[in-house]
Amino acid sequence: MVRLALNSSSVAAVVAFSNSAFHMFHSLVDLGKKEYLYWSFRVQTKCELVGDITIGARTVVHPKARIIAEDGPIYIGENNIIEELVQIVNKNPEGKSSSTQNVMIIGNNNVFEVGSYIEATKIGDHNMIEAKAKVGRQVELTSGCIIGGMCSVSSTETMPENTVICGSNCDRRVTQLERPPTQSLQIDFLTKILPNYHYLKKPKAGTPQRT
Amino acid sequence: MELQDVFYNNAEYIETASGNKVSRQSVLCGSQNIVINGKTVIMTDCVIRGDLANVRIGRHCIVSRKAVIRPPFKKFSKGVAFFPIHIGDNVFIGEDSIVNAAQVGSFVHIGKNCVIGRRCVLKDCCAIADNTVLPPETVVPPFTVFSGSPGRFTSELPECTQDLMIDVTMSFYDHFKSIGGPKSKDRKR
Repeated sequence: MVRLALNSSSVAAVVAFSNSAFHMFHSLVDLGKKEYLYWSFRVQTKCELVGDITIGARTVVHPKARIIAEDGPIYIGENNIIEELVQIVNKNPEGKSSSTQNVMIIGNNNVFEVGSYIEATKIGDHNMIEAKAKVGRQVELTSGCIIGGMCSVSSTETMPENTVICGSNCDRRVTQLERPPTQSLQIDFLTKILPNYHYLKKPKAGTPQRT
Repeated sequence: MELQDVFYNNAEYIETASGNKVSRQSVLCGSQNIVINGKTVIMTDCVIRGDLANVRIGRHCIVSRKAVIRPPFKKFSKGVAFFPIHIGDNVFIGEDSIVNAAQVGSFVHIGKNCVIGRRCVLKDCCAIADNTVLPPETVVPPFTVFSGSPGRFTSELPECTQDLMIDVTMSFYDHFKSIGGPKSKDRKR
């Protein structure tokens, strides 16, 4: 079940939806009949989406991505790119009782590259998770972090802003001054071409952006 | 050395007139933009993103299981584009590898579990070792081996690399045989 509904317990979701309604309004005005292409978020139908998932406006989910909300809901913000074979999993570690539900919140403007695996429950904004990287359950990404290709982070910690992790030893530095550039141009491009080749998953009837 | 026969279930693969063997379980997005020149094997769970840009794959290539071929993205001062990706002849791409390159020459060996970064250029007759991460825009010269993370030059290849790659890819194709019927043996490799 993929539910796209407001949840008062999460501010992030509310923001995502109110903005997406705004966005829909604009696209209707600008493009006349083409509003179908501008549904507030795009999910390819070859994806595997399980559980209670909320996705914000202008987020692009490529085919073959897996988003599994097994032990609690997943909220994904706006302007994210989730490439193919990415796994975003909200799952308690084995042996731990699931009496408390863990909400997984991903902010805005993040990029998850091909084959990355994310279990972290808190991810801020402007992060870049490169190909085949792994982010463990106990990690909290703030913003502007780059996890390099094939690096794995599984400690219990909060990453300082603008952390860069790369190389075979997962070396890290925090001195980076600027955060990774936003991918809004890429999102625009993908929004244009993906509907030509894929069936998109439409938001369910009754979600706020349709009103 | 003779390669061992690898069998696949007849129903699992589609064989085209030019001799390509493409798994039904692979994901070919935008297949009208994907050109495969012949006698190429594309195995189960591969992803080839022809929807982003054109993908051209030469003859006698082998794309192993779970490999991803995806055109690289580039931002210009004016606008953005996905680059078309060209892969030469007699190229081997190992399992779980992600190829984001702009160009892959002929007679190239890419190992298992590699990440070829955006807009890399792999010249003819080079090799990428297993578990390598090539950073974006790396150029791999001919007759070199790159390995590690980030990928660096580690050794050279002999002059006969071209013949070796032709040999291994062609005999792999010849030994990749179908068996009819629904029961298939457990495939080795």
